[in-house]
Amino acid sequence: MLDQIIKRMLYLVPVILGVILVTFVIIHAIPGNPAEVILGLDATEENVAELEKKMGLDKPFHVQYLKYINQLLHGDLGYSYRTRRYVIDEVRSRYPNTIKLTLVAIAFVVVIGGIIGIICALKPDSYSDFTLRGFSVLGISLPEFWSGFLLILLFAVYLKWFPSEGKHGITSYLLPAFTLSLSSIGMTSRLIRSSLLEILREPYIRTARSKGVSKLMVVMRHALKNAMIPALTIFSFQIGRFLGSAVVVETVFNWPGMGRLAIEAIMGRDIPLIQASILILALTYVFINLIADLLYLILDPRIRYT
Amino acid sequence: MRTIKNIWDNKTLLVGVIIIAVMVFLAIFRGWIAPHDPYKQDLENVLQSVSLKHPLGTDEFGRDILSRIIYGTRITLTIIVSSVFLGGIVGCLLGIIAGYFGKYADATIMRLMDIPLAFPGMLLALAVVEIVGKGILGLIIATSIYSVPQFARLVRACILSTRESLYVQAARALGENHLNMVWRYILPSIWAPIMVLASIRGAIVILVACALSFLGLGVQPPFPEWGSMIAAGKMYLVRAPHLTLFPGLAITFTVFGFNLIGDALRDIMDVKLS
Repeated sequence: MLDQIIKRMLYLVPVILGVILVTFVIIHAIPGNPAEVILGLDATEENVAELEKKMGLDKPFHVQYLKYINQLLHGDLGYSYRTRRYVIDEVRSRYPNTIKLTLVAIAFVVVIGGIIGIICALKPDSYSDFTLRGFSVLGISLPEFWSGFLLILLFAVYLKWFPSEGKHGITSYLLPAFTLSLSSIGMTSRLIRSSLLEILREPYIRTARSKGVSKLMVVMRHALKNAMIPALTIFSFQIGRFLGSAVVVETVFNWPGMGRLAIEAIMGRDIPLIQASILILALTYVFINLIADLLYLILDPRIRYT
Repeated sequence: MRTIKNIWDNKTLLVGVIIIAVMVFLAIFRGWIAPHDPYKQDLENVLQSVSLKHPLGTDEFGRDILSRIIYGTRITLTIIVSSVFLGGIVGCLLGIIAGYFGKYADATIMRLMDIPLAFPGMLLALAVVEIVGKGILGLIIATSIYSVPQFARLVRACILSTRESLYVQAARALGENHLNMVWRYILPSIWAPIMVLASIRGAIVILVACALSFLGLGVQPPFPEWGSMIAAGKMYLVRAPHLTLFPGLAITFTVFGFNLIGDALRDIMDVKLS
């Protein structure tokens, strides 16, 4: 077990370097000269050249890349062109908000998705199974920027239960987190249903049933544990979706998180900020993948990395 | 033959195909079907609600929303088809090379394919669209990049499992060349999973493309793209919710159609996507 875990941890090094490299390449491929962006329209050519030299933009690519890695190792993400603040400070104030939102969304997925999946598996092909399955396909098909507005209209404008935007207290988490979780609820419930149905055919379930244990008890005590393993495989993928969708959902709900930071940076052509927000969301995803893989190793000892 | 009969019996697939067929029909004959000119402004009738003259109301410039949605089908379908096709072709080619030739080609290609998958999909599309530029072409390229590794992985896995089957070995023993081996013996047996993945990707491509347009990074106004219509409508969410409601319904329906088709095909052909 331990060598498996170490092996998986070591794999992290090339992945992280790769992610940094790709982010770096992407940012460099974006048209436009950073020095011109900073100096504005009325800068002379000499001014631009001088600033380029000062920022090291005239150096060859690999030198800039190594310098960038060196900066990252020192926790230096540069400073924002627009606000003139250190990027790390911007990130520090935004990052926790995205993570909190993601955690609430995960809670929604586990609870609602789990319950729907179990109900469907208990009575397969019944009326309720059919309806709930229909809803889960619908959940997967909803664009977040639209379902978000529908929820705002219903719960914030007409019913006035929750605030429509921003981050003010606990109730303001519910709408954006629910919007974020809708498609994952659909996916998870379907997966739990199908893997539960498969497991319910196993001999050990029949044994438990013939001993007189009720169907619900069998599911809760015996089947659910095993049905969770396939759900876990898409777990990291789902969080990847959350981190990507944060860009959209945080824009809809005016949520002060990393996703909106990225959009604001893109709109303002604020390159260090674009770079940092993409890099940090991607690295978060890398670590989530690591955690999911490690959990997987612990929960299912049959799995081995080669 | 059994497969064809199953297709007719499968109501999920039927509904999905009908939805997509309607979208294709609208996209082709949009000029005849749309009741109004989708670009024609009528500043005296802005933000009108549902009426006989304008079945889905008018937008902030008095343009007919129904006509704009109908015109938007062609933009959306163009993006989906081109994006899935582009990503599918490149991905399948890489997957074939990796799976069929193995060894170094396999190791190199599959490691390269891991790179885009290390990013959340939406984020990668966002970054790529910044490079290739806004507009339809930008959206097509940005959304196709995430398809490439998925098709490559799928095709590679399928080839690895068919490569050792008897009929492929027999063909090899008969001295077929590489191209024939892949084209005539291996590809026909892996069409089913490719089609399933293509329809699932179709659904995701619309969602990502419309989201990018919604954020102002995709198709720009005045083109009637559904995502950018929602972005324009959000200003009037309370006063005129139909501006947001109907384009979103169009997106949901189209995605729903692709998801139904993907689901049904997966059941019929008994495909397991890992």
